[in-house]
Amino acid sequence: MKGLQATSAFVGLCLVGLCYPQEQSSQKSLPYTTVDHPEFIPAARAHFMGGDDRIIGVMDGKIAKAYAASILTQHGVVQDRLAAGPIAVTW
Amino acid sequence: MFRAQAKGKALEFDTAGVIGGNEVFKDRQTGSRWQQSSLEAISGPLKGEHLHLFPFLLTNWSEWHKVHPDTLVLKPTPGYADRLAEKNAEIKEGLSGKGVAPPGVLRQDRRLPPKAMVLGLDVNGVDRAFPLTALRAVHLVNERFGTTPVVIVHQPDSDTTTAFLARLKGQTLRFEAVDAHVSGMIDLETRSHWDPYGLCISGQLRGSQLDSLILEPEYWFAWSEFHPDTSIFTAPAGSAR
Repeated sequence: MKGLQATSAFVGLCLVGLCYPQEQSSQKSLPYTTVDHPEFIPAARAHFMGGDDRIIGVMDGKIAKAYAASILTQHGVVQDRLAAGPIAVTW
Repeated sequence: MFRAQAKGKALEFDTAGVIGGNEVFKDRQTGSRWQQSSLEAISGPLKGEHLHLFPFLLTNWSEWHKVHPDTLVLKPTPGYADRLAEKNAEIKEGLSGKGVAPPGVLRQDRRLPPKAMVLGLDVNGVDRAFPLTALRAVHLVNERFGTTPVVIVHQPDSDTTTAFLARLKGQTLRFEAVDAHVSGMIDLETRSHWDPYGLCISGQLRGSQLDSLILEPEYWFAWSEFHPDTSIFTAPAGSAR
């Protein structure tokens, strides 16, 4: 388990099954902890999104939801609940 | 991206380090540890069980917002919100295909460079990797997984890839892109016009929706590590697009 102890110093850049642990850069580390109660805003208020930013999109019934990769890589897991059941959004 | 449940039980996850360069999660309900790429529990009471993918799309904000103007957007948490530009730059670099495998990779498959981006697809237990570089060259691929016809569709402007069962009511369909942007496709059997998300928008099959397949975007080192029997799609020689 040697590899596991070092991980607080990493941020994971992971997709579905993709992990690319990278050393946390310059700034002071923020905890690499999951988001358990995600909050959402309408697209019209998502001024922080740039056109080329990578996102993961899902459909919750007829409702579309976008998760910015730049947020996912900082948390590892976003736990969300859809009409179809609970999901774990990862990068 | 996976359904957070196994054996009928809802699970919550924490990150639990890295094995073979690939992330591991630990569920809070049973303490079992899950390997991200294989979605298999590697220890704990649920060892040997598998999580299941939930349908999702990897794309860019511009494309998603165009297709879903009313989309909701995950709100960044305080503090983390200040890092988005920096993280987007890292993500872009991470997707460039350059670089070496991280330490600890269990077995290296040298058919492709370790950090080549691939879209992995498992159809009825047949694994195949579609290198992003190949998809950027050909855009649209009519393939078979065993006897199952599949179409892979790559939209170059947003680097968005989708995949579908290329069969409707028992009829196999073959497709070609309508233009270099792959803004749509035409099936060669009925000449109906489809959007890149598998919906038929005009022609004889109008209103039909192809069954989606879930692509797994991964680095080659991780996909090949946990899908050792995978084949690799190669673009036919001389393909313009």
